[in-house]
Amino acid sequence: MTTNYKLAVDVGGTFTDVVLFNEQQRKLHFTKTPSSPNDPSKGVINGIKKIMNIAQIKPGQIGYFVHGTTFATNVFLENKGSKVALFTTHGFRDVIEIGRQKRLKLYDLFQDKPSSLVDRQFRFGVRERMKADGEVLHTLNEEDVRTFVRIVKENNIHSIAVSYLHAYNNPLHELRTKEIIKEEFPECHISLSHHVSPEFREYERTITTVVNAYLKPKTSNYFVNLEKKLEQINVKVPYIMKSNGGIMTMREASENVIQTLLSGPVGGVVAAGFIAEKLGINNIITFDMGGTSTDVALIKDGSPQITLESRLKNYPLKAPMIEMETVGAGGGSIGRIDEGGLFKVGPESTGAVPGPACYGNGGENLAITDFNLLLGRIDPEFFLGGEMNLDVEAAIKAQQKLLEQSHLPADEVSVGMVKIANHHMAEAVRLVSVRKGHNPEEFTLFAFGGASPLHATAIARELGIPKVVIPNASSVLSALGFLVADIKHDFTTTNLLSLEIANLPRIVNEFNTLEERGKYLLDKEGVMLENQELRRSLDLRFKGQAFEINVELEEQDDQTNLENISRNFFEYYEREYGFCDRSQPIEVVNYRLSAIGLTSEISLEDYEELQLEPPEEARKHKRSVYLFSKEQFEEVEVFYLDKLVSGNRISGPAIIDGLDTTIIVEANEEAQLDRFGNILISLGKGLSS
Amino acid sequence: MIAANINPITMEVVGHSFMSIAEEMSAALQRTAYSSIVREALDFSTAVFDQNGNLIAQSDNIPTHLGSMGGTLKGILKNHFTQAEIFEGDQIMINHPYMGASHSPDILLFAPVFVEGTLVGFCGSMCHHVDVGGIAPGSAPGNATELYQEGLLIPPVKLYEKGKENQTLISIIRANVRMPSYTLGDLRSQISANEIGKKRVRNLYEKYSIKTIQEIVHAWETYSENRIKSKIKTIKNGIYSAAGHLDDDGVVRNEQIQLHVSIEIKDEKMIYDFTKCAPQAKGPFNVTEETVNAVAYYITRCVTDSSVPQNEGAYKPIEVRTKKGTILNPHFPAPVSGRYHTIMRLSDICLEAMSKALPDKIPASSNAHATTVAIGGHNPKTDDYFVYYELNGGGMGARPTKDGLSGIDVHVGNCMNVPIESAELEYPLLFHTYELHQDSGGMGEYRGGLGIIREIEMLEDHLTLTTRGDGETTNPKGFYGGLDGRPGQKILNRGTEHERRLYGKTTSLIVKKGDILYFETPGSGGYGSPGKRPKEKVIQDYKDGYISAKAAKEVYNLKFED
Repeated sequence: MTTNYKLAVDVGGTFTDVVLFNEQQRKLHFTKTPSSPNDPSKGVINGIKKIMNIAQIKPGQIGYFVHGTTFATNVFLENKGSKVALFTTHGFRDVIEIGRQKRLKLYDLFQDKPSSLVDRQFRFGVRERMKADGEVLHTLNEEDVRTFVRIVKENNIHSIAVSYLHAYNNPLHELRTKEIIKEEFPECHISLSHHVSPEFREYERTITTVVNAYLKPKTSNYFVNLEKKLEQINVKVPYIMKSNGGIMTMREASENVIQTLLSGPVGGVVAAGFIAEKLGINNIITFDMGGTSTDVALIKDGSPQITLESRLKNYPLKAPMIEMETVGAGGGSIGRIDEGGLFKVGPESTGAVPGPACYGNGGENLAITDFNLLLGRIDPEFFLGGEMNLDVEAAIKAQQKLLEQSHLPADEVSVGMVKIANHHMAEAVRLVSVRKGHNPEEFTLFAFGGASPLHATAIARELGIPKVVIPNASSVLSALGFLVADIKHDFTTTNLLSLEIANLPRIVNEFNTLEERGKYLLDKEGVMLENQELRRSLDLRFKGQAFEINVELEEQDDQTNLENISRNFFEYYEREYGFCDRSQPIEVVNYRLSAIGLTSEISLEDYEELQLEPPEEARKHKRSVYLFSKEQFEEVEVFYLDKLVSGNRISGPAIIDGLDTTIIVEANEEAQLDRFGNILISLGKGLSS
Repeated sequence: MIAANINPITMEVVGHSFMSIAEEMSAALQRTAYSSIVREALDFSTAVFDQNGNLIAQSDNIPTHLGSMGGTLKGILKNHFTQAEIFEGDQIMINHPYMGASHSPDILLFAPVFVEGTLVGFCGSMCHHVDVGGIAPGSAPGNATELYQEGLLIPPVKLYEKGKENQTLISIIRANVRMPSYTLGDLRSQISANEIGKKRVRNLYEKYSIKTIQEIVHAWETYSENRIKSKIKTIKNGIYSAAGHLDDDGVVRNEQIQLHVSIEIKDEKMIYDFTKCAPQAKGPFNVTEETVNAVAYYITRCVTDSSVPQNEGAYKPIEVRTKKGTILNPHFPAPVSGRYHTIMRLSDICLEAMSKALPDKIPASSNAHATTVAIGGHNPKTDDYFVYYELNGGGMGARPTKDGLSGIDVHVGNCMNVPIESAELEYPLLFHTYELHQDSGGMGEYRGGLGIIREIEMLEDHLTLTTRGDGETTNPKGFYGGLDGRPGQKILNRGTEHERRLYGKTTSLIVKKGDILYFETPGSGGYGSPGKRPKEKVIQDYKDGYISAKAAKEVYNLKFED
């Protein structure tokens, strides 16, 4: 019996996607089953059973398994986390309530701060103190800790966040506190700030730790539960997809729950990067348009950009994540006209229920899906491969109100709304590219997620992106990404030093400590030495500044390398901020190490490029569609995606209908199916946006 | 409401682009800034203007700067540089309060944007610099009696001309400020912001013609104007007044400074009459006209429509009246560096006035000023001069439907705190406490937000302490039966034999190693009678320590073991 099957399961809000890859035959199976929101592990098990059935394999043949889950994300977004107690330095228990003392909105007299997640009576000030340099000023008062743990236990709280001042520099007191909690209350969940987010700035570190503590009991419970169920069907414990684009063991995921917050969406970015590499493309922008929002990320020279602080529900979370811009514009975003007569799209969405007006569930709001339908860009009888019929009449009826408000012809209203949605999405693309100093003309847009292909070329055109790729299996792309992700652990320390030769030994020393920790973890996970990779980087700034730029380090630490580092810093700085005075001294703030365990490559099935001309059976019929390239409706030919063979070339204007997506090839565009089943669209020049 | 010749879609796209340019400039400025007052407290603004100095878009950082940059730029174009004297690569600088700027630490920098040789607009940034010289570190001496004591004065001059740096000017600045590396560093950040803005504005003009953009800018003005007007119309016509005061002016102690406003709602207009305010102060709490306008703009947006885009049109329905020679329109060279405290209080008074027209929409009185603390001296960590500067928030008044927020900056301010770990890494200071102040929020059906307690220990000798505190002699008012909140106070070495209460506006006090500054910032007023507060909320407040057992008993008649 061969064990060379790789399995990936991605639990989304509506569907659980399952991908199975046979390494020998290089064959990819995929399927979807409905998710089971109350207990997502059910959907996971169903999906695994279903795919094993499709591929006709036994559980023992699955040699590798990665799971991505938005479990923690949903608990967070729906405010369903557990009660938390906070142990912090005496005198500072309100840091999480004061936050950064700033109002989120300037003129709203009724606004609220994001909840501090811990009732004030359960924020405990422990007598202890570290100095900024990590020296102990006051030793830990262990009696304080014991007294507080007992109160926590009496109040039936099962999760404690521990965050002491300067613990990022010396975790001694946090570690000892953990031991005491373990003695007094062994079953309590514990989150330590130096472990969750080992960086200075007490509010950000503490709230990140508190959020971790808030999500931990339920999430680790889910993992335990899943483990049991997998045991019953004999499938091994999975790795868990991590927000930084890597994977981690389930045990680590249960500890560092915060690292799973982007577990689902990053899979798509990793997969797109993988496919791009196969196609020999280094620089891509991913464009994942869902129902309520669109996620955009940038991959430069093969690596996704990582951000070290993200904002979720107005909490600044300090955890490395693939940098994504999210805009509140998706297929379900509502288009309306405001009291001043302006067209607005989103961020309000019709949601799954009632959904866009054309779902026929009584929805009175028009969503982007409706406008696409009214413009003929979606076939009402072939939505989701014909699984669902759309109600054009309902959409037309719902549009009346907008027509009365705007005094414009129906088509113009629909075109306007789609254009504004495109503008919002293009703005997100601009934020990850232009704003970071990257020229979009040097990138390829990877569009996946149901509605993306309807909008991708318009967005590409607005930004001067010359090429769009719609990857094969685009609807399960995230799961595919799980299979190609590596193990990835991130480590950080803080120590402010000038970037100069005299400090080199100290800089090297910081990295040596981190490397030891990284290697230890990889060894523990059984990663062979030849598959271990350690990537070092420095957070740098001009001395006196407060925000840093992350610069990757190369192998050598000699003087030439210091010059390289400075040069890379200057160049990045100038790109990002428009002006750079290179005479200023540079300061090192954080030392970062990514310890990577490379997983074995998967190689996708590929075909010979057979023929340019699409086969006759791929030609469906003709349909009238609004073309943005010609600013009018036109009858164009429709092709069946699953009847096309590799090499087929289609000149726009044309429509390609797939089972889960519709691709509009505009005039002056040309689409081609490649050897891997991806569709490449080249944009012609001289088009208006 | 949109002119017939304007395509609403293009209008939305272009308008949105200008707003994101202003925000992008703001992000660049913050991330590159040197002083904590800019990068942590966010005391700066960025904006885009048309070629005549009309505001197109402004970043939403701090309402104090609302509308003031456009006025400054227009003044420069009128009195100092004609359009023909402005070139590609210029950066025009000013901080002179009586030539259009606000107070001397606020330096404004404007860069013209040219498209194919035509001046199409300006990108501008305005930034509170940590020190511009004068008699006290931080350039905010609470006892200044004339403008010249508040630091270097810069009339409109070119810091850069045709892309070339004016090195003479740089040398003069370097020689006149306490921490040139910060001041010059933050100026570089301002240049960054302007350069990023210029690039993006030019991109926009590559896509649309000058004429189209001008039409759209104008349409946006009309749009904002109409939105504000339609909301003013929903408020009942009438004149609504309120009065209050500052503790004193920092020079003449124990003499309150009276402030007064009458806001007239007249159909689609809001007229702010401040003419009954006190004569100009001897101390630095005077306010120049541009900055008074910011209060009116801020209040109008709070009580009408907070989502209206910020541009010239938003200001058209607003009229502001001040009287020459008063604290809100002083004669040159009256000192003005404390004007922030005056306009914070003024904002509170304006809201109180509007509460009479809109009782269900206005919170009770807030911690209506910023407790600022500046500590300077020699820093052994860097062997250089340092200034730690922080604006501390307090309570936001209880709202007609919910409790007020605790530990927050309100009104025309919106400054962040400096992380303690960041301050301790950089300065010879050790923080002992940063907590909410029990019982400082006024009791009521809805409780006022709490003020803050902070304790800072000096780790070096010969440090200089300067504080700005007002609201130490008056309570933030409760509304409609709600009780007042607590005022603030400052104490040196509290609980020791050397304990002494500090004057709120202490300037340049020499403190030594081991001295501990303790201070409380004001809370805020409650809303509605305490009798109406549900018992379970009082119990929760007690358990959480927002109120004491004593307060629970005296105000709510609930008994707890202490």
